[in-house]
Amino acid sequence: MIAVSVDAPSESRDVVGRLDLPFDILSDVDAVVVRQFGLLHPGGNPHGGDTTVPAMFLIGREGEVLWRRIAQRIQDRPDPREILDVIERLTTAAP
Amino acid sequence: MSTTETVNPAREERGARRSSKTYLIGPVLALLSIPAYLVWLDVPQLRSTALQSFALMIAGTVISLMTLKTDRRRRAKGAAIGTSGFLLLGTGMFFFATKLPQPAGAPEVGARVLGFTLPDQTGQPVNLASLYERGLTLLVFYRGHW
Repeated sequence: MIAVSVDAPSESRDVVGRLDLPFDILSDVDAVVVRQFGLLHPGGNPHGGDTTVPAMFLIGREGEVLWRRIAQRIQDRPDPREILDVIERLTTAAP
Repeated sequence: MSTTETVNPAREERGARRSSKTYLIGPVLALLSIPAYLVWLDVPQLRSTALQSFALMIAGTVISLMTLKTDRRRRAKGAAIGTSGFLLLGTGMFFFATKLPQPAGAPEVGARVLGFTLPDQTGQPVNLASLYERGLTLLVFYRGHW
């Protein structure tokens, strides 16, 4: 699991430390990757500037998208259980 | 000066009604919808649906409207109008003011993701392909710290 935000690495370091996160947060300060993924939310950053539409992609070994969820509203968050179900289905279905 | 008090039950009832605070129940319930939303922000289902807040706003509005049956004072009418307006405003904010731009060209299921390299929180460059080549990878875009 890997996360991406438009925060600076130092801000993400705080988040990882504060929440004791077992995964890394990548820093896309200029929203370049966010733009490449078609997820730009112009002016959406509460700290000023652009941010990303919240989104999740499950990616297979070939870089193919196996599942995705893109928020329609700011507050939309998928239930972790749903994601775990999808992962379980994908890993047991794999040949 | 003599004080002769005659108890008039009807007047007493009117007096009790005049000082009744029942009309406040509706607005208080409706306003509780805001802290109720914030308290459970970490529960994805409640964050996405705000069920508890809608329940409180609707209950507050219904109670305010029912109070109008017995309490015809202006403050009771004000409370009913206030809670109804709050419910409409809250619904509008929740469903419309939070709409996000729809993704243009986000990779569909089955498509390949574009490769990228970004620094992690320690400044170390991380390549996406180096992650998914090792196995199933969940890539999460989130709005930022707060």
